[in-house]
Amino acid sequence: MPQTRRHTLKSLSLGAGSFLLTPFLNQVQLQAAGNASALPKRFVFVVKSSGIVPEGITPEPFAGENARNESLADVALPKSMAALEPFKDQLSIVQGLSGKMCRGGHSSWFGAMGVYMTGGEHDRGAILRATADAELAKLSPAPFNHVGLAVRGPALSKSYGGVLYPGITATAANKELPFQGSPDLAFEQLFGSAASASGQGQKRFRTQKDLLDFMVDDIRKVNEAIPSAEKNKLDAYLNAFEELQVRHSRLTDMRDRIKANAPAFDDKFTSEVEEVRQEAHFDLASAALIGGLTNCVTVRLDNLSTVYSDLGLAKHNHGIGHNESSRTQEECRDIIRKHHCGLLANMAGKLKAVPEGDSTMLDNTMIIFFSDSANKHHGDCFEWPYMVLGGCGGKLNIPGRYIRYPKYGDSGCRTIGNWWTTLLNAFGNPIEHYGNEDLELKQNGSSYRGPLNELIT
Amino acid sequence: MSVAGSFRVCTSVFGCLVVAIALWPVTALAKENQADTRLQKVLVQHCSDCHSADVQEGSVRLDNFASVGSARKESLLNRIEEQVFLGQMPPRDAGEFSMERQSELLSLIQANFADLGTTSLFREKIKSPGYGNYINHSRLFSGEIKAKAFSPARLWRTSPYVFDSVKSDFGADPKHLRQPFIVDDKQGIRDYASLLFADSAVVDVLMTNAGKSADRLMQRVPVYRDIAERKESPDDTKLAEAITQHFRRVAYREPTDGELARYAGLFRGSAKDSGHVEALRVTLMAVMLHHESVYRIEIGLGPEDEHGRRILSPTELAFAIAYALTDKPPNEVLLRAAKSGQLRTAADTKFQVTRLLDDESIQKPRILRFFQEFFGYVHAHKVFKDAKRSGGFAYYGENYPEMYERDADFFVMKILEDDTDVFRQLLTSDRYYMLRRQTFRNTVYDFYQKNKEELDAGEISEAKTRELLDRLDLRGWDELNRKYNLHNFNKGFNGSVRAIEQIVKECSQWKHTEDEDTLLHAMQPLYKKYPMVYDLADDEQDFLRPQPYKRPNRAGMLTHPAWLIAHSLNDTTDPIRRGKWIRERLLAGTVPDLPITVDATIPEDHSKTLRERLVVTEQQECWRCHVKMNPLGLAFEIYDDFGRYRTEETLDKLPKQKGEYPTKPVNATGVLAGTEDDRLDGEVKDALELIDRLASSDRVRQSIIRHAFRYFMGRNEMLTDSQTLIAADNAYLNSGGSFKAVIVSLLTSDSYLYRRSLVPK
Repeated sequence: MPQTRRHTLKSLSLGAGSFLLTPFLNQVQLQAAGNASALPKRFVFVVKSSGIVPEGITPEPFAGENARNESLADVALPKSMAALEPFKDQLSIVQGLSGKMCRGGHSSWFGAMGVYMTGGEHDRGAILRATADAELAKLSPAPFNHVGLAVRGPALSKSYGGVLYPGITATAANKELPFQGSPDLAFEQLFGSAASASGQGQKRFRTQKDLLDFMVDDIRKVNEAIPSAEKNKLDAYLNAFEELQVRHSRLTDMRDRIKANAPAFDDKFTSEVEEVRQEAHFDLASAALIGGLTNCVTVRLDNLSTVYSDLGLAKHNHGIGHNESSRTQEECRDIIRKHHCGLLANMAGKLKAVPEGDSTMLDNTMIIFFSDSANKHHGDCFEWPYMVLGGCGGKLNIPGRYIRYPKYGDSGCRTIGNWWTTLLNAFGNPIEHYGNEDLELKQNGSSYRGPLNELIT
Repeated sequence: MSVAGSFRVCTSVFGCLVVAIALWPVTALAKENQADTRLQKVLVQHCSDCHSADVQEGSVRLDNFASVGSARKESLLNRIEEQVFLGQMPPRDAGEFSMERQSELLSLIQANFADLGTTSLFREKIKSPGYGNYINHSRLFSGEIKAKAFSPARLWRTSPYVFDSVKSDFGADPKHLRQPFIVDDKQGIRDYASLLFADSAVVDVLMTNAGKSADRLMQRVPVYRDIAERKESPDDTKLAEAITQHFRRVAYREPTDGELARYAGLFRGSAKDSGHVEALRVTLMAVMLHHESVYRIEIGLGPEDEHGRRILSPTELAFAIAYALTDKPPNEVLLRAAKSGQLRTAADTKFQVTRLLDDESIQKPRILRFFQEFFGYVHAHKVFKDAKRSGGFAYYGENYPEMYERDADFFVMKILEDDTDVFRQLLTSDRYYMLRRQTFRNTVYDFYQKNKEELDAGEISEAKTRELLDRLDLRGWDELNRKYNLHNFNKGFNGSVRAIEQIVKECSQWKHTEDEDTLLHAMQPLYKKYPMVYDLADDEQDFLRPQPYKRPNRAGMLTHPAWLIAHSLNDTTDPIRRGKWIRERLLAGTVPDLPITVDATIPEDHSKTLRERLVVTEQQECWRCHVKMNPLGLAFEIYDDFGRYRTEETLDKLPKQKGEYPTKPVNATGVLAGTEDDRLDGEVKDALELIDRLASSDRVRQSIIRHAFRYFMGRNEMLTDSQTLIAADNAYLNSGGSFKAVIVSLLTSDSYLYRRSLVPK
């Protein structure tokens, strides 16, 4: 039976990346055919350092450790979250989920979204699997399947700018997602095909086509000289460049949309002030989502070296976490939270302004705000607070709710493994249980595998 | 369809029928000779007792094979082939089924696949590492196979270790280059040429790396910076020089004229639209993406011999030798030998391989890595253990299992250094090392105290430096990190007075004590529980005293905590996988895949030991496979899942009684079967007796050699590799158990040197 090259490639167990564009193209076709259920579901993961103290994001009437699921409609949010009041119907606060199967301390590294224990104080540890954000990205493909933007690198590092590897997101076992740490470079990479401050981006976009064409042509020539039994190896290599050619051509077709949605390039993108850089990354993330360049962004918002000097804080996050500031830790956290909520509200506002079908883009988006060190500066992972903004594409019945699960070890307690399973199941990955189980809960007979069904619509 | 048309069709069908009747006897004869009919005959003869119209075990009927549809046929063929190949079918009690008969049947199955126009899934499957043992062991070592060995002509994807070791040459800051060549993080030998591809996932990373390198080269290296900074485009000579320099970095050779012209064409074309700076960038990226940086090409470019094989060309051979032992491309000496015609024969290869092995200044990480992959102990850190249950097994801050892996490395390295009776030593030596950064610190601290005067004066003599190296069991400072896995900030330790003083300072600062005894002998509190898996109490440890530690109740790697943890589950031991490991790695045996219909869960019963709970696998349908694993793995029940020796199994899921969990006595008896040696097979008291017998087995020795073959050849053995394996086995025996002798034998074998003649056009 004659085997075509594509046939051969299909039969090989190639990495997930080789099919990068196929689902995306399918989806484009579905949307073009007016299929509303094919509207992209969008995800933004905002990962801060130094923990999120549960009390800091709990409305006063809901204080305490009692399990509950209540509407946020009639309660006031904590003052530091005031910026989110206008979005309260699309805000969710989820608390009480434990993550004891992860390493605590300054960072849980990949464990925060991979649900397993790894890493040391300075060591990012092993990458066992794709993290949940990367798994969700695969469910909603786009020309840039998963965009990583980082103001800072790993929790305790001083790395800053350029390509960064913060140690929180993996696209597969042993494969970390690269994050762009410089907003100006991220601007070029995302919008360079259509808009560019210096003209560099468009030039680079053009030469990239030259490169891809060259590689395709070169590999084809070499392949003629390879024994037939081994041709499939070079075919795989060739196929990868051909896929990039397709992406390049998609981006060329989307030029007008990209141009229309690219943020205006200004000083913000080259600023060295941390708060401004955060704002720049948020602008890029919002514009990339609105422009259809991606449906999934993970933002590494800060790390323990970050100093919020524009907010009037002199100590870095690490110092604040160790109570070295002249203010109390609680005061510092309130100040920083207020700033973060401002960033989130700004993004939500932009997405809400874009109509999509009968709703808005915010309705089809899920912005998840949490920390890679769970609930404290030295996270003990007894609970892992999440703040979610957006309508979650109607897949979850959490918008507008305050939800607290029974505390660790109590009957009905749940873990972050259940949380990420819920998201994956709700958006189309049928995995039975994502991540490792908590062995102590398992031993006590109170471990539960699977999604939090009560949260799925 | 028109009426006339219908009529024509009817006529034609009728016509066919007439022809068919006329040809009937001929067709029947043809049918008789068809592969499916011939296969059906054999199946009826050997299988109909259990797979016929009357009885259909496993829902399989074979007596009507020739008449089923092609999809069913293909599915049956795949199942039959695996069972016959493995010797599982026909069952032993169904009468004599000779090896010749088995070969005939397998050929017939292949003929059926050919008739169906499809290929055997099973044959594809046995190319992968888990199926290496499917080639019959006795036949391989019988000596009856005289076929000339070869490896298939192939492209072999760059190893991740090679990438790591050469990435600093690519121009970019190596910190910013990511690993593109990821190999499955599974147990066992995995770097197989036929299984690894450079696909989109690889190219994604390569593209980012190529961009990073280009950017940095253009900033820092004069030849590129000049082009980037000048307004006018470079002339042809300058451009050729720029391309050639980068090409050498990536492909370790000069570009051909044709290649130069193509890259120059890319540059000129891009420069027209986007200027020469961007054009230079993409040209450098294109060079870095050259296929030779992604695949090593081993197609056999040497002359063809009378058996239709081609020997590797001298250059191919230089790369093959270098990558067999090191993570670096061939050095000048090897390349010179290749260029000057001194790398053409097995004797030339032997000379170079021996030279490399004897040269201690050349690091050969591939040798230790074979044992890491073979034993799989380096996976210990991936098995999550509940610290609370262990009584202090730490994960926070330091990963204990990772430290045990390093200890095991050291255990292997010392045996390889002696290079005598290597396999027996690895399986039986009770001398373990607990050599880690604390040992290094304490030794340096002690050295300082004893030479305080000289060191405080700011001097250290050469003799004293030698003494410190000896005490640390190092031949040079370059070995330091490999052995002691130092913190990043200590990695530059060079034996200078300043470096020694820094360590002394850290010693006293980190232990929070002035007590000399603690400073000299103990660990930091963080590591306090680290020795517990060696059955040492907290106060028994001494990290200064001479090593190795002789530990009671231990025998070699299979009782090393790193191996025991790597082959355990989160909260229990793992007799089944341990047994499978021994069956496959040491006894060259096979265990069929778990049938998809089986729900392989062990019943929860907190009052029973794991052994008692595993009785469930003794049901008839399970035992056919489990008999190959459980009786071997259960012998290791004398260790708990942290690797600690025990005589009682703690039932820690039952409530405590008087503050203690109930226990039950350990029963670790087992059965060794499959050595094909009556003196060794039989019941064993526990793992120690089992290991002692395994270490005396010819089959175990040969099984390790089979795995070494796979590691160095990057593929499973074929029957045609028989002579190579026998030669390697003899080399081991004749050298008194030298692993170096095995390496030399394998790397000079026909399997290594020859490729089947698949000539490029």
